[in-house]
Amino acid sequence: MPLTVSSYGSFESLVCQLAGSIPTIVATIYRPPKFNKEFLNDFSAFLAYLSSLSSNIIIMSDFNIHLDNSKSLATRDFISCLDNFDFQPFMETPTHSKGHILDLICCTGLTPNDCTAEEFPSSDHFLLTFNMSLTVYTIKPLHVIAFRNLKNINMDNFQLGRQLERLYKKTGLNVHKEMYSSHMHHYRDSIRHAKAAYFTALISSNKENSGTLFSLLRSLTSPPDSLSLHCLSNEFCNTLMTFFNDKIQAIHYNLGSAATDTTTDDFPPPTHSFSMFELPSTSEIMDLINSSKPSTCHLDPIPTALVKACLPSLAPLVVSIIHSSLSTGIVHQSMKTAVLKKTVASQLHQHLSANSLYKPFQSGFRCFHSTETALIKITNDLLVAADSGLITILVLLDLSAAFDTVCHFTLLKRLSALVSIEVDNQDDVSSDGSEEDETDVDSDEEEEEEEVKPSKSTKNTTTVKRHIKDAEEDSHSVAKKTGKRSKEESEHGRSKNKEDKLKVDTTKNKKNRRNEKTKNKSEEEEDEDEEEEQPKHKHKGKHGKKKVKSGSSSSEEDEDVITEEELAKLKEAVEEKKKSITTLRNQPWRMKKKLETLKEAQEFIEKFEGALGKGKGRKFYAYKVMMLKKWMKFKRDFENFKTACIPWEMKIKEIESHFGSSVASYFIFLRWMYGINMVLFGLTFGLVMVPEALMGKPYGSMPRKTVPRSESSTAMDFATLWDFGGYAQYSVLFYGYYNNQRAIGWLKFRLPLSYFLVGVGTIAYSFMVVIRTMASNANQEGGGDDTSFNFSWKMFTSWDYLIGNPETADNKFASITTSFKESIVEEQENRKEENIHLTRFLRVLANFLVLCCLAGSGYLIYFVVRRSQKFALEGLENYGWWERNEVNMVMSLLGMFCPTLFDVISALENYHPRIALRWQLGRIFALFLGNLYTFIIALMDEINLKLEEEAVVKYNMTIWEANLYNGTLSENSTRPPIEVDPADVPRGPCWETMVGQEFVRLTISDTMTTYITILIGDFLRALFVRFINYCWCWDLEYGFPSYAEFDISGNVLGLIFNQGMIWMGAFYAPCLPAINVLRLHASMYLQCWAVMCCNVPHERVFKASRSNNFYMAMLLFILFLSTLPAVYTIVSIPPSFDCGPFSGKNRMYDVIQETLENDFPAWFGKVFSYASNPGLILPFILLMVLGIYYLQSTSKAYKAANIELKKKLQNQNEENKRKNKTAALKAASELEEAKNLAAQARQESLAVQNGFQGQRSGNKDFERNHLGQNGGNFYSPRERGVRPGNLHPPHIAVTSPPGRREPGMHGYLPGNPHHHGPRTSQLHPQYRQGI
Amino acid sequence: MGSSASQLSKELLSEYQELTFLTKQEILLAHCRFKELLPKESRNTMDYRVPMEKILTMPELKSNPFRQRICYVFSTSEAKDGSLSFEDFLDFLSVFSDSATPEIKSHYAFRIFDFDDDGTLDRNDLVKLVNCLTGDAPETRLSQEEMNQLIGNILEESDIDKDGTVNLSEFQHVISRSPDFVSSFKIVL
Repeated sequence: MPLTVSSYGSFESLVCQLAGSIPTIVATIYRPPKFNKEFLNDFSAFLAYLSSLSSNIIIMSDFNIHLDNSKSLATRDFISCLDNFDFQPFMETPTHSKGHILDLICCTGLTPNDCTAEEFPSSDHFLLTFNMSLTVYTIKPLHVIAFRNLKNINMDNFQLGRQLERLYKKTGLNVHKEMYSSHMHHYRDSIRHAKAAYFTALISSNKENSGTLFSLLRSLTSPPDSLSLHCLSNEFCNTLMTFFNDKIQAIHYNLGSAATDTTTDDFPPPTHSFSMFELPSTSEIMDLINSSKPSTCHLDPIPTALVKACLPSLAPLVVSIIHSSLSTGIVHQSMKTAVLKKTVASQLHQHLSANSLYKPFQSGFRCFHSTETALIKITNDLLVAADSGLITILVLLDLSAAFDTVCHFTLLKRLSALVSIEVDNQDDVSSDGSEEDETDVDSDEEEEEEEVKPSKSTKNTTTVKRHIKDAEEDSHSVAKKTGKRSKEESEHGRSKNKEDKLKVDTTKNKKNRRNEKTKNKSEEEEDEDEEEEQPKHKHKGKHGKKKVKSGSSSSEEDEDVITEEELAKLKEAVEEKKKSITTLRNQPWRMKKKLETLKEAQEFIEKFEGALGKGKGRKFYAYKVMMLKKWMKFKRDFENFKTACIPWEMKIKEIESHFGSSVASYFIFLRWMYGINMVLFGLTFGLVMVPEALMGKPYGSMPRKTVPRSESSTAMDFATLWDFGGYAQYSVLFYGYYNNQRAIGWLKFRLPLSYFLVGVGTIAYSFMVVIRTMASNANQEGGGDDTSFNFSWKMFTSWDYLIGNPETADNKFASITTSFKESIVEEQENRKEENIHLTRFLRVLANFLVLCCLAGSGYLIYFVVRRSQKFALEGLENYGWWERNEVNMVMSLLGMFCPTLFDVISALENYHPRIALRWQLGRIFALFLGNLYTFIIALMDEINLKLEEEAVVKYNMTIWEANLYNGTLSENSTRPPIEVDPADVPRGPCWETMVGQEFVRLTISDTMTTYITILIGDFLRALFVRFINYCWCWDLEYGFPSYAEFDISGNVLGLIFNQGMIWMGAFYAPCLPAINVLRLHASMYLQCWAVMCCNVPHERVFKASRSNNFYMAMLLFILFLSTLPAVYTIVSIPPSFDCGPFSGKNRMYDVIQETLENDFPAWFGKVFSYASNPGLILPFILLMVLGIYYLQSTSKAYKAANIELKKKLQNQNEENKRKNKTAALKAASELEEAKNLAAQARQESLAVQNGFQGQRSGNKDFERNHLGQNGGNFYSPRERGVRPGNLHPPHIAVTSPPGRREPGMHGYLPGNPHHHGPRTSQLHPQYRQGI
Repeated sequence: MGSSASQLSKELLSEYQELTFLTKQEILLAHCRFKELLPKESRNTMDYRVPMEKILTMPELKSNPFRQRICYVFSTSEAKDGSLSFEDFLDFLSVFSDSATPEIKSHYAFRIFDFDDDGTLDRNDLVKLVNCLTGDAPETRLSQEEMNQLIGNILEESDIDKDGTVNLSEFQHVISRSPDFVSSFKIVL
């Protein structure tokens, strides 16, 4: 790169710079020999400037200073000047014929090697040469490549608009119109957005570059035209056109004077005729399009790649266009796609090659022919001519406007004669041909013309002619096409095409035009004047219109023809799509986008539904579809609403994320219990309590509904109410308050019956729910029975993804590690156990201790209950709070401390944590159960006592009543209204209310202890640990007391037992479910709070789901146990005579019998009595037992089948493996064989290669052939994996088999262009033969 | 939530509901959360991708040993940097939601465990998996011998076709019989 340096008066300089990591400056200087005192100053300024540019400088100079003369002042000054700038002169030898050193090479930063001076003939100075190593590179100008990101175009969206439009046109539905228009809006919007985004990006990226910004602005405000303004004017266009027209006309005119065509009749009659184009099928056309080059030009309306991608939707249209063009012979200019040309060309080509009508040496538009072959042929001809002593004259012609001046008539005639392309309709084809000529300078027509030419040229036997084209190309290096055209032109010239013929042609065209014009006059009107100017254009325009019309009409027909079968198919497809929509979310597809596009496609299909209905049904169908959509939407909203209604979801999820799923499982269980209790509460409240309160007799109307006189003084005390005595006792809350009146109120509500049924229903419902939940849980667990995947489960499923707390995560890590280690150890030494005796002893001891505890607690409860009965007999008033609540307190305390005790004891046993947990749970369960049952037994005792008391009261009652009657009235009136205050009436003890009270009290105290435990054990402990930790001698947080863990098992068991009490007591205290609902509600909040604020995550993992069914099983067990006493009391103990809905009856279930007798027809009662006959019930039970047995045995059989299947699977896998092995062996041997073959082939191919060098294209052909024949077994994927990198280059290996190649290879097969491959030397011998 | 709701159009929302296992509320919540992760200036662009580092700071993922794998598996980013777009994020939540089917859960679990993305769980994957599960602390790491034993056992159990690796169907077979998987393979916002 040259540099400009300020010029100096004292010397001349030329400076250039070589690019490099450090640029190198090369300067040449000539100093005139005349002394100039400015030189040193100028030179030092020059050097200073150069030094500022780079550190690497080379100066080559003719200073004309005698540097060898060191005494000279000028020399010394000069050298010191060089030294100042750190330049080193490199030249010791004389450089001038006089023996002086005049020329110098000075460098800084670089060192030249081998500086030599040689005499140079034309100068008195010597030639100085030196070598220098420089790192130089050239700076390449930056290429900016702009491209459209076609791959990112969403094809489905892209095609949607068109599809929608068609759909709208077809159905005419308003919906579709709207869809279409909204799509178009969307489309326009997105284009606008894209543009805006593009320009915004452009502007923001060029913020600093105001020049670019301005030019951008300019281009935006006044969009640039590709042509300059004057080019766009009409005159310019017209002058251009007239120029070419004139030119052509001039040529025609000149030709007109030439000889007439005389050769036409010489041709032999055609042997094969080509009368019609076949209509290509869709697949053929698609193939054609697909095989077209993907290259695209920015002027194309649609990029090729895009067209290919949209092909499925475009294809029908294209096909119909092509079909109609071919069948009518009319082609519109704008419709003249490359596809049409290709179809025509391919058919022509087929015809020509099939009938070997090609001239063997036609070079254009054939595969394996090119200018090269033509050139070779000419040289060959020349050589041959020279060999035979002939003189060759080469005539090169350049014909102007050759293609435009071809006489169509002649051309057609030639075609029909030579190439046997028949012309049915002269007019049509001629017009067709003319169009082709004008607009489409491409393949097919030209090909035909080419055909014509060579054949003729051979006839004329002017070899020179044959060479014309090629020579022309050589000399002028004109594009191939023009060359050909000129050639044709030359032929035409030779064959004396006349202008008059051309005129005939044009008149024909005109006639043609007129005809059509009459057909569609109206359309033509406007174009008329233009027509005069540009007849041909006009012509095309007309055709185009027609074309378009026919195309659209045909496509419309196509779509209208959707018949019933198609309709059914469509329906099916739509159904299928719908199904796939619903299953869409189950697809593990990676990309959301994928899902979405699919979804959109489906929605599109859904829109087709509008087209499904026919005629009248269509509207209805559309309506149905619309309603269906609305219904779906509603359903989804409802789902949303339902999930929003699930209480405490967020709370539980928060806990889940802190403590993992196990703790959360407790809360879910709690919520579930809450739900059950809500139902129970609803039953009792709605069917028992509310009716009684609303419609029953009011308070104080009868003895059972009044507080007795003796208790009325304390009835409102808080202590009494807290114990559920006083007013609470005589209210709807308890059994005793209800009246035995059969029907109450205006509704005739059967209260006693309802009471009984609710009691039974409560239990039945609970059973049902628990069992159902268990079953569904079992289903979910899906036979996780076997331990065959112990390790895998530990590995793959042990991480709890809900854990969001680092502390929990750490614990989890630790627990997983220990579980891994444990299981490994277990696996390693499954049977080994050290010191069995000690562990056994310890375990026995532990169990003994636990038994002691259980027995002790049982006795304690029994004792306490007994004592409380004694207290009760003596009157509770004399005792304090403790005595009154002794039973409950003792039970709660036992429940609190015994589990801890068990925990301590279980440390003795040294069990695996999981087993230990089971033991622990079992023991606690036993404790609770024991306590409960002792409690119940004690209660039974009390009931018996009450019953005895009742008998006494009953007896007293009769006496009292008798006294009452005797004292006041005589016997004369049957029913004297004796006014005794109901509070004064003596009454029985009402054991049912007593039982209910006991259960309610127990529940309340249990709740209290739970809450207090939480407060003290968790909250206060946490407070203590948290704040005392600052002033304590050891770390409280990690040391002894630490924070509490959430005791899942204890809490669950507590919950379960509480529920058991509810079930037991609900019959006698209808308020119990309500109380339980309150309790659960409160504990939900309290425990959530407690867990979040004062508990730490578990160190031991409690498997959530597995324990779920364990809880359920316990719940079921408890339910069963708690129904036992309830049912027992209902069935076997007579109800109290003066309280409750069943008073006066022998047994409680008599109420059913009563209802049956009174409210149902007689036959029903009869049927019922038969049904309850033991003779029927026993067989029924038997049947049920049999059913159970059958089910069990089938499940066993299934299990066995499962195992069998598993075995089979394993066997099969092994077999597969073996098969694979043998296959691999086989493949290896095959490979060996192939190697051998390849080795042979290589030798041979070497030999062949020596003989023939230009085999490249031939090889390719062979590869293809070979692949086609040898099929998969040689090139199977497996071997492909093995092959690369092996001995031989692949293409040789592939073309290997020795026997095959000989025959087809060397010979040049005429008429078989595919084997035309080798071009150079092979052509020669054959050609000689031809000559 | 008003502003966020305005950003998610109704159709989009219903489409998301159709395509994921999430309810409307969950999607809106997810959107809120996602927006919090976005830098302020790009909150209004829906197609912004949140880089993996940001995603990993979410409390739900913070202590998950597979968090990076999760990001990589759900990311549709071409740069393979684990960044998530909102749709990826929804995908992720959908798979980890309560109502997702066990099949899809196990499919993604497999992808998460397949550390080298080669479609099978081989020994190296399993070693990495074990190391993830046992945490970083040196005292919880397994020794080489234990590791070999463990992996040997696992392969013995679940590698049904005995090709030395666990493939997807084998994995799903094992997982489908596990009682805990569905309940533990969950992440909620």
